[in-house]
Amino acid sequence: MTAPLSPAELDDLRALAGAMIPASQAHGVPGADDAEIFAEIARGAGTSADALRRLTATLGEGPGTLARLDRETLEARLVQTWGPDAGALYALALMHYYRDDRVMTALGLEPRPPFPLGHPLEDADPALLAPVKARVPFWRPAT
Amino acid sequence: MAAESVDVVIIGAGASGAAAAWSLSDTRMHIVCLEQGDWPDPARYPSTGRDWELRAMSDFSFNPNQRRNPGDYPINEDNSPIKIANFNGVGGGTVLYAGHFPRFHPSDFRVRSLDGVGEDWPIDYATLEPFYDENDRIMGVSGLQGDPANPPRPERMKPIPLGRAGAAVARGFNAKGWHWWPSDSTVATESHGGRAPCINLGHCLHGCAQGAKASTDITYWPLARRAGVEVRTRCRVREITTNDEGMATGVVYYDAEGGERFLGAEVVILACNGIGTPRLLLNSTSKRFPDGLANSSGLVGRNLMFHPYAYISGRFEETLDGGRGPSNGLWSQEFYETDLGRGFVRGFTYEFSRGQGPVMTALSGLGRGQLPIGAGHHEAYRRLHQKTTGMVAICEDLPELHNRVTLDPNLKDAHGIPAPRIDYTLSDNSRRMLAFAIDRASEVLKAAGAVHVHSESPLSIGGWHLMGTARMGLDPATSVVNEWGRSHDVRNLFIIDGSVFVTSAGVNPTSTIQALALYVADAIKSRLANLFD
Repeated sequence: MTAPLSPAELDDLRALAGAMIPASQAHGVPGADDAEIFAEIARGAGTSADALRRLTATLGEGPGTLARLDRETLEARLVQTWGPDAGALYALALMHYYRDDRVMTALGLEPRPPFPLGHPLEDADPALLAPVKARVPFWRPAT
Repeated sequence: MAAESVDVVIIGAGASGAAAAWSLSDTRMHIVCLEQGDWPDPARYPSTGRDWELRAMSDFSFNPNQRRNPGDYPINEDNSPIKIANFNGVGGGTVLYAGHFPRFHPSDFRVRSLDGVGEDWPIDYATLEPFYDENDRIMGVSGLQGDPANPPRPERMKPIPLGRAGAAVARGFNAKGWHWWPSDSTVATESHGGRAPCINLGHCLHGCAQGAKASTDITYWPLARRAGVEVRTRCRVREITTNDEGMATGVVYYDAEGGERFLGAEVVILACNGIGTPRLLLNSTSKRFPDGLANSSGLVGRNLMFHPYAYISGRFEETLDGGRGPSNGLWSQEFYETDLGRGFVRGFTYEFSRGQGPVMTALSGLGRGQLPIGAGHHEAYRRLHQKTTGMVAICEDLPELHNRVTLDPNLKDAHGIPAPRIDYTLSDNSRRMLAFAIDRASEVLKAAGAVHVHSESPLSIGGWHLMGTARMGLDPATSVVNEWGRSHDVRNLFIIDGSVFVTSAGVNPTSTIQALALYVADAIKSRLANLFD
């Protein structure tokens, strides 16, 4: 069984999340290292512990060392060594980042589940179908 | 072992089991359906919570090995490029299907005669047509009459709105001069049979909390139970038992508390679909049936057919629908019928695939290398968000003996019952068809204005359609059941699910599975006096 993440490993994970999805003033969104978002990422990180440990060994010098790197350096090292472990941790961050209220609102989405309010969906111009309606039946009789 | 006896036991409460139970209920026979899963609870469907997209990858994944609910059994699918999708619970696969509801074409029942491949069915479209119509009435179908690619249909509810994405794809087909049409769908667009109309939750594939999509837990089962059919959930059948005369005597199953029970039955009906049905038959060995029940032909588990899927999506500059609305709503059957000039035999349907919610947009972008980390992330994400749409190609698979379901020598379910193993190889014909489908869909999307097109083939997650593993036919040497679903070997054993398909056609199979179930139930009712002759 995989051991839970230590505080130093969680610091590394947070640094990675922030390097992968940084805050953006231009888009009005927090980074994935934001406290609320990272709490969700950390809660879901159990199955990614091995990936984090391998990545830490590749990019740093042991638990806690990634958190001490400046963001640009960490991002550059990630890009240079990108592989399945980095991809797994990026997926973990994406899964939790894109359901945060502030992120959804910035994207023009209402921060709520689909049910019970649902969503509008436009009808298209019925004339779109006119050329298809003009075709003669072309299914193959089987006689 | 506690024992009791009924007239009919149906194994499986999904698409076919529910339809047959409802049809047989007017006989007033004592009918019990055993279902290894539970009743779904729409109040707990993913779209009711903020984690709706995450739960589509966990407890509402359509892959049982990922989902691992108590009602699920493991499947060894390591030797298949296409992974199994199913749902074990009342409603079965209809709980997690898209509700896309095309029918077979008349030509699909005459594949050998028309195209020299596969086999002909022992029945034809005209035989099934009244059962298709009856099934449409109970399930409730939206769509539009007049499709030139199909025989006429009865009146339907108004079609699903195309939305911005559907209109874009339709414009692409029009630009190419190719067929498209509003899909037949079991997503209700008006109130139907106590179901509310669709409100575009956009999460049809993981349970419809609105109840607009027809799954049999909310269509057939309320009617069948009102008529007296009993459904027992969390009851997993281990084997079908037989007597010295080669007749089925009932089933041994584990009840909700794990107790081993025997249920005697005059008639046994198998409705576990293309993996579960051969698994149970192969697990039902005896001195008389050492190779599994109903398997004198050696064909139980063989001829497994999926529909190999290609997924083709385009990124647009205009804002489309994202994750709002039913995933489907439009089909194209321009390339459905055989034209050997295309480089393959048989054909496929394009099923529109509307778009994705915010998390799946991000994960898809990651998978396609479109979503960098760091400072460029947010700009890249906004180029994808609500700007992607496309389609899947549902390609006809042909029966091949080496594609099969067997029992895994090591893997077992929670009750210690041997689990199925899948061995499947994509055929050269399927590869050529998939490549053609990707090329033509790319042309459509570019004509519609896509600035970038991406494709994936075969879609590894796309083992939704499980067919052919106990095929129907007139000759006991080359088929498992006869032309009305009765086992050639065991005269009171019937099979009514996708495993009886002789060929797969190039369409989603649920409407045909249910029409067949109603047809077999009708055949049973009309022969009650001499059913076992």
